[in-house]
Amino acid sequence: MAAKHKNVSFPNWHPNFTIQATLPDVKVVRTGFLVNFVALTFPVLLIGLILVDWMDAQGLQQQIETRKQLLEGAIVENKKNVEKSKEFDIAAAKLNDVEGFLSGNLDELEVIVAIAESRPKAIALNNISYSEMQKKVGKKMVLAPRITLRGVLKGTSADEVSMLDEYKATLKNLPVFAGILDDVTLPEPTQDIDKDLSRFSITIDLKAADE
Amino acid sequence: MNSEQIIAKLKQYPVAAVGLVLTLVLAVVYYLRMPVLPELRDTFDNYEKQVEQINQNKKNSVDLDAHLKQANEIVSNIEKRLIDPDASIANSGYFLRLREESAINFGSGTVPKPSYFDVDDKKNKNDARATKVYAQMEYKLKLEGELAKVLDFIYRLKTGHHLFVVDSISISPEGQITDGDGNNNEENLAGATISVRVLAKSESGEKKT
Repeated sequence: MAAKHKNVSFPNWHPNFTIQATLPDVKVVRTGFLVNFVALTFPVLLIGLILVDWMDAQGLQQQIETRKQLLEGAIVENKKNVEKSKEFDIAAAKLNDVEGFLSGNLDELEVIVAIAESRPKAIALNNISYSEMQKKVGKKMVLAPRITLRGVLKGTSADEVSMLDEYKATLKNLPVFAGILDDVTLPEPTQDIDKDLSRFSITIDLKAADE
Repeated sequence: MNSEQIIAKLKQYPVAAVGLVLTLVLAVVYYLRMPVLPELRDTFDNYEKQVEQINQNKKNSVDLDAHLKQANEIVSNIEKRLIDPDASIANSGYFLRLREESAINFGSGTVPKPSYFDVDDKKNKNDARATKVYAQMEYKLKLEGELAKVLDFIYRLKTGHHLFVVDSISISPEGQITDGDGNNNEENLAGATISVRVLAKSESGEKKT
């Protein structure tokens, strides 16, 4: 009986802790589950990304098609519009050219007539000249009109010469210069005692049209 | 870890192995598709810009036909009024006709030869009245006659068929006036020197447009 018992081998009743692989998996979350979860998470994420990407691409493709159709429908009309616009630009350049050429804020004849009519009897005008002085305003060249009067005044006394100051004031207040007058200068007149005359020159500077 | 162990692990976790293979395949697919979306966005932006441009052009073209017609009519009218630099006899005739209408005389007896400034002329470039499309011709005239008639000539010149501007006028009475009574008939006689410019046809300007 004892020999019979000696021939029967029993496995160890407790695990051998030195062989890790044979130990049972007793974790709350099994390693197999974790490995599978992680291994499947990546493909699922990638599938999601590719799907979103594909859907975006489809949406864009659709919008591109819509715009292509819009362009195909409008391209002929647009070409005509562009051609007309170019034609208009050419015409506008010509009109601007003429407008610039004719620009000015003054009617020279009206000014000359107004000056001639404002002349007091004691004053004789020998010359009225009108010219346009070029000057730079910002980066642009503009024309500022200048009128110069040369004349003689009867008399040389202080009282008589003071009439020139009155004439200067009259010129300043001429309605034709309203809003465009820049400056009126009257240098000291030269006296011709023998002929009892005072010779003078008055310069009227006006503002340029763009000032 | 050797290959046997790796194979053992793969056998141990077959689902994870499939997941790994799938991840690799999908990563390659994702990598290959990466440039597709930006390319499509660029294409879309390009088309979008074209559509916006066309819409803007459409808005800008409201009444364009009418405006173009009007502008062309004005330009046509202007071009009919340009002086022809080559038609010197006709140009002199124009001045002589105005002279007759105003009943004045030219100081020199005839119309002086004009100066011609084309659009590319350097002398014309710094001028405030420089033109880019049309050329200009400058005339300096001496006028003699009654003051009112001299002024009438200048007025006719400014408002006549051709497009003139006055650069300068210098008017003096004929003879020396020593008193200011104004009773002398000679006082009304005046001599004037005027410098005028007129818009002219330009060969280089025509070519430019």
